[in-house]
Amino acid sequence: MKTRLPQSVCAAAVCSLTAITSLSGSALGADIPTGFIKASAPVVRVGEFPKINWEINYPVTVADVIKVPSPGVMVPSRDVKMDVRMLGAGVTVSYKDGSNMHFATEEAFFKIGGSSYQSLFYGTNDDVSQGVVLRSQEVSANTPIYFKGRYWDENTRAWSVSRASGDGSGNVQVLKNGDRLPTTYNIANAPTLEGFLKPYLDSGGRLKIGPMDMVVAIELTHTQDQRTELGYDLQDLVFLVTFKND
Amino acid sequence: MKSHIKTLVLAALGMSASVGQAATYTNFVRQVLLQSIPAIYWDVSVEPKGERFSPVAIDLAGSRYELWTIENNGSKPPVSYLLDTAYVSAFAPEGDIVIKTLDPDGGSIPRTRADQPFSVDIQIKGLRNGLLDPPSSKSVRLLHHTQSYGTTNGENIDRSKASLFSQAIISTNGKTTLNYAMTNIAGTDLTKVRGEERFSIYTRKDDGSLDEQICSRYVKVWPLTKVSIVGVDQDSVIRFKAPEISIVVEDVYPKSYTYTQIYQGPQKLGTVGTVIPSAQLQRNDITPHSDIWKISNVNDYIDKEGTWTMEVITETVFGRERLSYVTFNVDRELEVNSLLSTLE
Repeated sequence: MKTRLPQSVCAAAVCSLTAITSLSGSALGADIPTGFIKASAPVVRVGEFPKINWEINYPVTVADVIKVPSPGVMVPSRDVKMDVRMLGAGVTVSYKDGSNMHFATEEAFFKIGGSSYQSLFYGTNDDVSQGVVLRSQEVSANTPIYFKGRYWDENTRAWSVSRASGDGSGNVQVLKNGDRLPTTYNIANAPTLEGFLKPYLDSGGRLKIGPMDMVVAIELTHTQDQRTELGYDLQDLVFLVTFKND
Repeated sequence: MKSHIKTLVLAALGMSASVGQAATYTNFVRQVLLQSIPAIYWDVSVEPKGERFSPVAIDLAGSRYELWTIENNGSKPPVSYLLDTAYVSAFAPEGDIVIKTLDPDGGSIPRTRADQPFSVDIQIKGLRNGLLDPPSSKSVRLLHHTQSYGTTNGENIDRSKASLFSQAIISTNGKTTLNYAMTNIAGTDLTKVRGEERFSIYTRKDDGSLDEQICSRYVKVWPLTKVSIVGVDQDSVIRFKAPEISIVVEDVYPKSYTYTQIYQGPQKLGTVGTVIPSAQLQRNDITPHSDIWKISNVNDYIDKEGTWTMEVITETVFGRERLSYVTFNVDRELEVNSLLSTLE
């Protein structure tokens, strides 16, 4: 028997490179290029020129597919599917002396393009289950995705000001693997770090999520002017959004 | 194994490249003319997807077409990938391989877990059986290779070092399905093996020349998740403050939800407890993941004395499984043994 084992990774060949900004033929979340080549007919007469066809799929991460034109707004560059899961709802309330601390009731919404906001979550952090897909949604290319949230202020007995993607507040951020939460301190070491976020952060406060994941982090209790305060922690509503090919 | 002596006849005319996130890729199709010794090959620059006529006509021995891409990633040395091959000749049979697993999210390369079943559909067409047909047109060879990734996730492995697990001669056209109850990759602990299994169809040449690959596909195999609960022993007694507990997680499946829960009472499968937020992970990845989750506030979840159970569960496409548990007792009542006496 004389056979040649397939060697998908070989020594490098040297070629001059000319970049083309095409993403056609890409595999979401793959780690190495894959592809196929086929002949129109495996059996041909001697002297003929068979027709061959091929397709290459390159490894692609979410940064190649999702653009963020303004804070908190995600725009896919191709048709995608997305699964939305919730990681936590971190607004807490207590008496003025700090006693009776408990999670506040919160509400979250999302919308695709110019549609109306739809409810995504209502409840407290105790109602969150990270394993549950809250929403599976197909999103067409170039259609923006927005998130919005608010909490019930037990002191004023009213809903807080809503914070939404692209509202100019900067309080809704979308982050990918390796990004740091945009706090002025290392959130990983902060006393205010919520437990639900710990497994997704390294010691430097960088996100450890999948190549096709994005985290939507919303701050509801503080404004940009209060960014240096520990309370500005972007953990008031946190979602994990996973993209895949439509 | 016979080696090829390669002679580049036609250099690529302005290679074509595409970009992923950080890398650029240069693609080309190589036609290897097998009749010449040494073999002659022609390279043609191509787009990521396309169709064209063969650069050179087919000769008596046929041609092998190779699809290549070269990754150029900044400061790292370029890496070339041979993505696939096709063989065309006057006598070549056709072959196709489809690997089926229970996990639909593997993408273009199927994936499974070491303990899970998978199947392989082998489809053969074009075999002949006439008296005057050449022997090479009457059968093909099926090879099954296994290769362990060791402790890695398979980055830059040398696939020429895979182990031949089995081979068979196929001399009839049609579909054959091979079923496997679990992985065939060898290892001292079969639950922890990681690697790939490759199935390849080759020609059976009768003229002493190298057999040609007709089709080849592989499946990635990932280990089972292993969890240790460290910091509290089975049947131990917690008197006052509960100790810090660490959940040591090895190899959560690429797509999985793994969580720690606690409930009062002895361990019982199917019990729904309170999920501990700092010891859970929703993972959507392409490789397994290991981590240590620390629980420093166990007391927050223990509101009564008695028997308690902490357990770690994983949910994957293969089902919901308990990975580890520990049952302990909480006894905070103070028992004062004193000697009463009266002084007068």
